Amino acid sequence: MSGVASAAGSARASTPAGIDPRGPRFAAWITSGLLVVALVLALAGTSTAVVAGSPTLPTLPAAERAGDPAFLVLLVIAALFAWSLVSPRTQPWSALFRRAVAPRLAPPAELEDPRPPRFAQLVGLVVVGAGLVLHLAGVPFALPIAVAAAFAAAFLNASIGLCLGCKLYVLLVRLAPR
Amino acid sequence: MDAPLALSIAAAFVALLVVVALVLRRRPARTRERDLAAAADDATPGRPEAPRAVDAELLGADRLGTSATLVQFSTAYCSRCPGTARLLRRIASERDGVDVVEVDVTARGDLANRFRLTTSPTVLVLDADGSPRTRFDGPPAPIAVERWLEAVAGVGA
Repeated sequence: MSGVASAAGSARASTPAGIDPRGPRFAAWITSGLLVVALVLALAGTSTAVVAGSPTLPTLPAAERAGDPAFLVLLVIAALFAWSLVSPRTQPWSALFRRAVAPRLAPPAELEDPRPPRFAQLVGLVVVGAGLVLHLAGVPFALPIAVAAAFAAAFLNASIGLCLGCKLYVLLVRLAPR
Repeated sequence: MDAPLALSIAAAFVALLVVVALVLRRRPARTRERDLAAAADDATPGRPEAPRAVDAELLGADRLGTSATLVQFSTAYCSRCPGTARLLRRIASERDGVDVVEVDVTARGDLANRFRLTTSPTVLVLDADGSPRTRFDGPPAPIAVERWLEAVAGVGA
């Protein structure tokens, strides 16, 4: 007789309800678009400004650093990441997908665990947040670098479904033996 | 820098990412399938020998399958794991003597290290003695699992 043996610790007692996997991909496309805009602004803005071989960002007052359009766009992007962590269902892209996109698609073939995409949002928030903090602290080039990194992850997720957060998680499991 | 240069750099970067996506797509997070017996035959000094037989206790299970065992190593945050587990259970249910053991390695770092897990899910096909015969790093295609069960234990649906 064939059977199923579930090893101790493998039962995920509170597995949350599955979600349509196309939802997070849709959000990743929108995020990618916003990050491209932020990238152009960051490259053209105060973060990369150099005069006579010296970056000028450190000489600017904090208010001016914060007033950089790229900084503001990135702040909005960070807020969107945070929103999806705090309240995934009300997050704009999630709601937009459910209301406008999903009804036009066939029902999903399979549902996915919502926790990995949420972990990816956290990774995005950390990367973007680091860029914001460093820029505010006057570190030149921090903004375009952070945006580029976040864009790469979001774009690869959206286009080919590559989940860097999942891989990072497995790596962390191996490095932290219990 | 001025706007045209900024646009050019951004465009070049996006183009680079498109190429990366196309390249990575060609081997779609290619689930790596390894014939472990063949790898053992090639064993030369310094290369890993055939993996030792696995016992049920190591995996935290009561028993292994009498014909074969499908072992899935999962982690807590793994979007492809539930689907793979469902697939393995379906395949096992269609065959006699095939058991499925799913292990959450989040709390079993020792297993993650022993089996040198690089991704989740990782699926092993064990024969009746518990010797791993093949290993999939990533979600396996159903046909590949069925082919291996046929070869390892002669169990068809």
